[in-house]
Amino acid sequence: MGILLSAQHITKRFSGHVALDDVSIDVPESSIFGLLGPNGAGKTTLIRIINQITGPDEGKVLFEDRLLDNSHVQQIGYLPEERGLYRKMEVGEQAIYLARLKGLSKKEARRRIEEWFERFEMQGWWKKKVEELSKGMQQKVQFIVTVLHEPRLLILDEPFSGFDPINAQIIKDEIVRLKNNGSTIILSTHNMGSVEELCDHIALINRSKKVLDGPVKDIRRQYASRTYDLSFKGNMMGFTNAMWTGAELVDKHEEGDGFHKVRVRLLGNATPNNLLTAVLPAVEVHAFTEVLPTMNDIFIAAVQGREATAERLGTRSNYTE
Amino acid sequence: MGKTWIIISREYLTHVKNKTFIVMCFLAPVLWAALFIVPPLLAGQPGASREIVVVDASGIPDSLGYAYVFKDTANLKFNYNHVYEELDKVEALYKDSSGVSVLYIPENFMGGGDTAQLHSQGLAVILKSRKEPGFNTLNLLQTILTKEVQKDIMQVNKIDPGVMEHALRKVAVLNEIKGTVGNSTVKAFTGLAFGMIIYMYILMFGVRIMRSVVEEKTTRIVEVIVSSVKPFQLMMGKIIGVTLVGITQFSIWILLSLLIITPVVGAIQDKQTDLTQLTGNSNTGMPVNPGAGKLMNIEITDSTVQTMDTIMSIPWGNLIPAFLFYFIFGYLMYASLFAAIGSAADTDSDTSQFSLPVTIPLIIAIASSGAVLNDPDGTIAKWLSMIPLTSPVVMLMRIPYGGVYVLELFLSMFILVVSFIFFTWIAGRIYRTGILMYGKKISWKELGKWMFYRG
Repeated sequence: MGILLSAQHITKRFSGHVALDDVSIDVPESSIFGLLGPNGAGKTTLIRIINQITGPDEGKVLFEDRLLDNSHVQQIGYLPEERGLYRKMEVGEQAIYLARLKGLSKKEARRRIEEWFERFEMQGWWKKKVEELSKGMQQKVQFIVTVLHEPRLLILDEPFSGFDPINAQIIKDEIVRLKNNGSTIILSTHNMGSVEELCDHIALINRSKKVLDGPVKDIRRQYASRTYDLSFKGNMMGFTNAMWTGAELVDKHEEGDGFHKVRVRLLGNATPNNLLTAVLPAVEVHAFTEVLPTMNDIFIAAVQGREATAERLGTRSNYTE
Repeated sequence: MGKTWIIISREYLTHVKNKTFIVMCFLAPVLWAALFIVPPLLAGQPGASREIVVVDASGIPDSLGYAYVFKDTANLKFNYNHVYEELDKVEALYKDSSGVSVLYIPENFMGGGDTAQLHSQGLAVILKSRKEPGFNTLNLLQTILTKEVQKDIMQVNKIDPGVMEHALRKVAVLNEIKGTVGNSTVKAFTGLAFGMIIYMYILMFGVRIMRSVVEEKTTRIVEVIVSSVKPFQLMMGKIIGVTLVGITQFSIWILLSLLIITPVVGAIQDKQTDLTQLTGNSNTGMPVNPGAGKLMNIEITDSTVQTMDTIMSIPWGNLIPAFLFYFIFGYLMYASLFAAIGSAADTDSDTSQFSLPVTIPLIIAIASSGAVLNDPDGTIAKWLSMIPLTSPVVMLMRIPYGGVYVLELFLSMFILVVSFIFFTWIAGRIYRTGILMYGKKISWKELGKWMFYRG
């Protein structure tokens, strides 16, 4: 898998503060790349630099190993977080206008818009003015306008905001479909559930610096705190007595009929096998799974510091995994 | 250029298809036409007809008296049935008729026999009405009575009316410039008209550009667009698009105005010529100056020739190209400034803070038109025609007078072009940053910083 877009050592200063400080990201082709970070971290600035809306003070952006220039505008589709449409303009006319600005001919634009309108079941909207549409409907139009020119790189900033769960799912499905058709997608969102669900890679920016990046799987493993969920049938006292000093009980929960569910963290060099060997004689083990941190946990950990989260993870009383 | 063109055409079509545009296109010429047509129509129109009952208590014998000097006109009927009756009785008789006035010549009225110097009671009559008789009626009565009194005074003092006419002529001061006798009013009017067109156009369509920028910002569509085109392309596309809208609108206005005004004005002029001939024959007009009718005619022909001469003497060969030049560059310069203002604002109402400094130079240009036209080659005029923010208006006021040196004109044009490039550059930089700034109170200092951000 080649790298489609590579931002290298990007620094951007505004009077009084540094918006991006030596940030580099590599976006692999045909993947979904999550660009995460708290509000004001510098995500939008980075996205604007990739879109050539503004330029970096230092560093460069390569698109397929070529320095980004005007000819790449056609190959990038951008759905900004702050988005809108001309309120008094008709939907169809407006979509054609925006598509033409991306380099499509009038005829081609019309053909593709009709196709998309059909897919999203909005054929009757063509002559409607934008102000007559609901917010969710406007978002749909906006999404179509972004992908209409079949860009190789799609940059979606909070694409799910303003959608109800059903329409959010439709958009999610479209994003996956686009990826499977070869598009590369940069997804910037605060919705960590969708990051876990969709993203192959992420980069996390905090206070103008990149603090974390890599494939989602690797990162979750990297943040694993050697915590396991274990279900067993037997005596709770027996279990705790049998549990050897290499592990500590973080949480317990009685399920009834002698069933128990516990969360255990391994200490020192202990392995899962050590733990199982120790407790097997005392209780009947029904399930044993590793607890991987959620993207939400990782986000908070990376932003607030790793320790704070390990703490948080360890004392959680509800089981989400 | 291809994308700029797409923006221009959208901008143009959106505005042209707008209802306000269509309404304004047709309404404005009608209003203009009304401005030209209604006052003369009203002036030429006979007012409500009125009956004037003359009551003479002066006791001056009929042969010398003033009761019977009036003749009926289109809307005034003189009633001589009660000339020597008591005023009270006559008034009582007509107390319920609002269309009737009583012209009362009081006992102390002396007419030509009055020897007091000014505004003597011996020269006052009273018009008693239940409803306002109107200016025209009063004027007519005054004119007729004054003329009669003058005639009597001349007779009493044995003055030949011909001598009087001779004595009352005016001395003409001919305004000859470079061998041509001209009429400065025509020049002033020409200059002012051209200056005003530029002024109005800049204000009307500059503000429209500002609105259009604010609209893109408030609807948040701007970020989508600048991911496809350069902000400068978007700004120029808007400016050019709205400019074309303005040119379209002005062309329609001029065309429609001409279509409406020409025939009507023609008709009115015909009617007025008839009227002058009529009054000339009946000899009612011309109060103080007995021979004025004749003199006026001479003046009219003279001034017509003069006006024609003046119009010919206006350096049209300079004026028209200069107008187009100042119009285009002045407008584009202001338009980019208005676009920059729009970009710094979050809402329409925010714009007022920043638009004032831009509109003030324009207002100064128009406000100083008196000084400029009074002394078209004076210091104020010279300076204001060099300063780029006022030169588009002021220079055009000066050119019709013909006193602008070619070098001066070129210098002013050069300054304007340089400023146009400079201001457009600044505006482009402010615009680029401003359109992506939301929810921030912008200060002048902040605007200054934006100019130095790297693209």
